Amino acid sequence: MYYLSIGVLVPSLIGLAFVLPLLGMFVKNIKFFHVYASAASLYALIVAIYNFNVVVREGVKAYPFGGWWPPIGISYEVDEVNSLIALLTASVMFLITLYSTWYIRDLKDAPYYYTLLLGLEVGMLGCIYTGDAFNLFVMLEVMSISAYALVGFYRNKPEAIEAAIKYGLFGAVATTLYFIGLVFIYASFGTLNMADLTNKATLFWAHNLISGPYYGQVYAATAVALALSLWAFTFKSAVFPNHFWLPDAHPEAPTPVSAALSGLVVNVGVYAIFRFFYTIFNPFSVLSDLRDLMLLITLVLGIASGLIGAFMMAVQDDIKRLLAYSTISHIGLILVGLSIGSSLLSRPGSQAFVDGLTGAFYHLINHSIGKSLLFLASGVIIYMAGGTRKLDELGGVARKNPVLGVVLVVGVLQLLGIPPFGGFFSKYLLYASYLEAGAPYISVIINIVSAVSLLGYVRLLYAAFFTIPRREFVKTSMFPSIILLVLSVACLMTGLLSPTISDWLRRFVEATTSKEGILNYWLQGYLVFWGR
Amino acid sequence: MTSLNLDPWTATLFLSSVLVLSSLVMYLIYVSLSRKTIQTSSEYSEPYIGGESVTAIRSVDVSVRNLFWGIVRGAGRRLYTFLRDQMHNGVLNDWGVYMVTYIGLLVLVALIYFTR
Repeated sequence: MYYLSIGVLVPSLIGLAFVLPLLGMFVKNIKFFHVYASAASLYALIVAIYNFNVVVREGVKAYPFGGWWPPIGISYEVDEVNSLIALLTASVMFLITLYSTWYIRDLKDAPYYYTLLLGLEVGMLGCIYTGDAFNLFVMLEVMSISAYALVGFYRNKPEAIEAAIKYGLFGAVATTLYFIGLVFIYASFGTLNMADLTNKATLFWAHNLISGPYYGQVYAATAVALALSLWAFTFKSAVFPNHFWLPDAHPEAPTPVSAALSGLVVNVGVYAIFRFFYTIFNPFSVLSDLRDLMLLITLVLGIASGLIGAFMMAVQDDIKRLLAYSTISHIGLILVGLSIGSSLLSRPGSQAFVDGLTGAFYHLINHSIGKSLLFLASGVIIYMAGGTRKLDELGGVARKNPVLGVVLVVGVLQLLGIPPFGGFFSKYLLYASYLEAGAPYISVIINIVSAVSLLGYVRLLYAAFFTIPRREFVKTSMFPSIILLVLSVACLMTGLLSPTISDWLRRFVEATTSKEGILNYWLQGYLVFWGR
Repeated sequence: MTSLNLDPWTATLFLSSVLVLSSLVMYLIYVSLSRKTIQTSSEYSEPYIGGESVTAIRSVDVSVRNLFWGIVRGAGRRLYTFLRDQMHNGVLNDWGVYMVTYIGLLVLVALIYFTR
């Protein structure tokens, strides 16, 4: 049996998003669009919760679009890991949409803003749910085009336009390279369905009637395809040296969009790397040598990102730019965790392997919540200070708004990794996994990254708390503070519930990356048609 | 000598309590030592005919912010000259060098590895 809820979410949300400009021609009351977008986002959250619940109870589920038997048709396939990331995305996006109702309360272009924001959510959920490598390309484009337009949303600001053009130019190169990679994959494997690719790369039952045998030089073609795909995925997740666009793009976007871009969009690249190197080209694959090499490259890039992001944070004068560099640093740490699966570091199923991946996903969750919190808080700060983003001009803002002060401290402690917040436990797992893997120097580097990033966070807190206010701050309503408090409680809960969360994540990682899990992904994805 | 064996939950609670308490102590020290407002001497407005001015000594204080920048600029000048002025200079062509080199290396390494 397949679940309609898995297939229905993305197309219906696309419909809800793109009907907005049309409604904008007839409805002139801006409040309508605030309610509409919030309801659409809530709908996505409810369906994501349902899908997560189904997968946790019953295991991997798939949905073949149009009734076409995979690998001919496009199918969506949801396992424990992607259902969890989709749930995280939908939850944070719901709060971001609610925050937007305050942030753009008087904006005339609200229908277009919400079209793009919902478009961004559709793109992210599509990338996460899809079980088809070509559909991943399509959904990356949906997500990216919404993101380019949102970065350049303030079209009267030259900086915003420049950032959007730079992001768009390199983003188009990234998706094109991924597309060329897919050409190589299709030419060699005769299929783009992820379950079928998993089958052929792992030799479960490599020859099938529909996609046929292998063609040409599979090893060399796959090597090039994975190199191109990895470049595209590291661009989307803003990993060194593909990170240059991020510090320009994220600060120039409207603040709720910055929160979505820094907290959620970068996760899509990380998830794609996981899906490619742990499911399709998994540790049991005949191409495992290739994935080992690619994972070592991601380890080096992750370390470089972590250090460069942390060092650059310390010399920022712009609050949003500081947070953008923090994103580069944290995605680097997540990638370090994700790289533990190289056979040179750990065996599949070993404690180091499971701890590293658990730490990576745990840190992804912590970073998403913490970073969204800090970006949304920065929106309130910038509003109170009359639009300036300069740290020197925001001095003493926390003294004027104590709730904001508490929220800033919570967000910083979450990202720094101070107990009892979740960031501590995820960093600890990353640290412990490399100790377990016999690579203590990488554990030390993880600590160095955290220590260096402290300089940047201290600058933020020093400006907010320990500077005498030199300007008048505008008062705000309580509404954004409520959303910030909800996210702060979430930060605290990720830490207080760490035994439960890490146990769940460990179970998810084991279920997804074990031989049985990979076989199950193939079976569910490939044979879903029989369940009709 | 016995070692302290704690389960992760108790260890977290213990560590958090230590952090909260130490933060509280640090805060109290900060509050007790810091000046609430900028102090001006009662003699500030009075013209001196002679002698040393007390405020002249006070005015050479280095603020925390300046100390921060002093350390960053002193210790990391070469690093930040490279990171800020050469690497993150905002010029598209310069970014392109890094990004194209990266894709070139990726493809080259992958091909050499599998055609060896």
